[in-house]
Amino acid sequence: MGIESGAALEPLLIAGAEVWLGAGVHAGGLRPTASWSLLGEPGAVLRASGQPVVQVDADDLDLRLEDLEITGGTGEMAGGVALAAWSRVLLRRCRIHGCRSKREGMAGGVALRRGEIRMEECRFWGNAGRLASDMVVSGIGKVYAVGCHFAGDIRVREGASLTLIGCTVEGGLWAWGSTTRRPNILLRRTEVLGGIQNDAALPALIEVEP
Amino acid sequence: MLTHQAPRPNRKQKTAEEESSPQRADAQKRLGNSALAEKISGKMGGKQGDQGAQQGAGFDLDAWVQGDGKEEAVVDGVSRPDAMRKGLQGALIGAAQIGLESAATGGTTVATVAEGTAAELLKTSGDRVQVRVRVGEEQKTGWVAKALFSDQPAMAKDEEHAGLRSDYVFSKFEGDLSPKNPTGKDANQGFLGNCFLIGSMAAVANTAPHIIEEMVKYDASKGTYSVRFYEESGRGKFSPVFIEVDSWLPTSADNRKDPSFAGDPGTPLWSAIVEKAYAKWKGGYDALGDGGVGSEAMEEITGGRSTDGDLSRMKETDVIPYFEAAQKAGKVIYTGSKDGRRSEAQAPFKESGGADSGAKFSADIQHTHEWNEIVPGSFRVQDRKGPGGSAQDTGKEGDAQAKLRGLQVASGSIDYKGNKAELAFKKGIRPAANDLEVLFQYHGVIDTEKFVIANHAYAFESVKDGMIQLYNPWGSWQPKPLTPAEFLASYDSLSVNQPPERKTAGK
Repeated sequence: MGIESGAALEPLLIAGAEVWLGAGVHAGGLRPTASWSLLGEPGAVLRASGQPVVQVDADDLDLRLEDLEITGGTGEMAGGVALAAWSRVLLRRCRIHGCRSKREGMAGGVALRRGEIRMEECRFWGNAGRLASDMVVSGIGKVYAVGCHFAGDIRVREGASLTLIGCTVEGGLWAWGSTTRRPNILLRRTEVLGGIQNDAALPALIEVEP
Repeated sequence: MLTHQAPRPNRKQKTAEEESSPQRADAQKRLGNSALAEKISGKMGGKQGDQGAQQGAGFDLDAWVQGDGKEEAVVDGVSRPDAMRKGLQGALIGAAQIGLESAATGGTTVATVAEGTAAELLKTSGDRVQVRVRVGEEQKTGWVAKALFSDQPAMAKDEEHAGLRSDYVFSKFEGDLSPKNPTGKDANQGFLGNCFLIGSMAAVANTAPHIIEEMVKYDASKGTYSVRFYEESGRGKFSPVFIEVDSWLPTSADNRKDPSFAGDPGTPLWSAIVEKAYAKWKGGYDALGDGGVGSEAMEEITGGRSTDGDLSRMKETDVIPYFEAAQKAGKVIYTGSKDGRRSEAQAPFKESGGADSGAKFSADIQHTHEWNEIVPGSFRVQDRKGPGGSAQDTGKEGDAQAKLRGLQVASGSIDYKGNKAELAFKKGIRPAANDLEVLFQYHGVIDTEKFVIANHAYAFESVKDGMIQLYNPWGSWQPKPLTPAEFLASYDSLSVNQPPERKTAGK
């Protein structure tokens, strides 16, 4: 099913739906309650204002966002994609920019504290967040990213897990655990141009593979 | 005219009505870092930098490091580390004689540091430990008796001196500070940017005070507290975590009766104990000040799952039933205000010259409250009659000044801090001053009548007579009861936590 810019999006996002977004700006602020796929045609933009572009609070969802520009969102966890539930999100060839966290919140682009996010060939830039501009992986959330480019920085904390394969992080990668948990980070063929800062007192377990 | 030069008040400041403590003025002072330097330089009989001159003949660093075999005066009721390891954060508690090393001279001098001075452990040798402490605006290393080192959460970073700890010291607060009949009003935010945590504590105390009572246990025999949090260990599984802390709380060196972070003198101090334990668990006070999320903090306090409500879809008629239903179900509610609001239109420009070319104008931008600030990138000038067209600022977050640009504009500027704008139009363009309408987004107080502060966490208290009462975790500047329309106009996030059912005896 394909829809034009300006058409109401949420009523179409029913279980199993595969919705094609045409070129133009589509209203974000999505709160998924079913598993669906959103696929962008060239020029498709998913934009929110005053809320996250996608915020996932419901468990057991499988969400897929492909070829979309995700922008303009704000939220306490993240302005772009915030995952606070036991669900799985796939971001493929998405461009996430111009998103920011609110108050003392987490990330501009993407944040999660449980569940899993998989990213393929995504690009992040121009995001702003209190803990990190592009991504915060917190709690026991898991992120697996392949071929992604982060112009900003990333933080991993508590018992979270981050795998970056063939990625570039222009900003820094910050990691710190708690007295009861440590994050796990695997960097394979990944450049972190801004350096890796692993907390001296509560460090993460970081493996770097060429 | 409203002025905008006054700094926004710190979180410990109260309104005139709320003002009651003579110690308040001291608490409001931003903490300097001179006290420790004075102590040390006084003991050494010289200024900082004179330390080399104080290196007494016969001072034996090796002997000092090895200790003299005498028992050090160990203070009771202090958290001690299980193991000494590099990087451990803490404080020197007891009469701390320190052998300070001078990088410049290679010498060492013995000084006394203020009790409760924050320290980072570098290494151990015999019954001494090498620590890093702050002296004035410098960090120094020195050796102290191991028994004087207490593990404490890392102090907050100093905003004025990057990389250096600020001059807070840990001060002892006597008695049993554990919560007894707690309410949200007991939770008061200090100088840390952690409204997410203090707001969460207040919200839980308002709705489920038994959880706050149960989470803090005082051990009178040790003078320490065991604070229970929860961490998620798997789907649907929140496991308890117990963190032990003492009642040495961060204060300024010159007012050791007023906690600098959570807690106020004259109110119960359990929120300071919970904040300290949370800081110890998560890697320090500075880690808390970096940021967090209320929905997550509530989960860590109650062991129940949080969900976020969606205020963008809520109608006015839904608001009161929503709060009443949540209240009836024993749910904890935390809400967040919008990060700004659109100003009313104003015409502040006055013609200031440009008779021979395009008209020139200057403006003093008006605000509805002296704390308010223009959001860079949101400032727009529109000529209602047309010839001047429109102008837009080029600023982005963090900018102090920016340009104003438009098709008919020759030059223009805006000073966000001074709230002044200037605009010169191209030759022949002469709009009337009172046709130049200004609109912008602003931070600060977004509802001056009900006193709602932008981009801030609030704890839900109650619904009464169709009005919503919220609590500002600053402990001051409380909002007045809000109608549903006012609530929706000023707030855009809502987190709801369902605490687990209380277990009763026999179950």
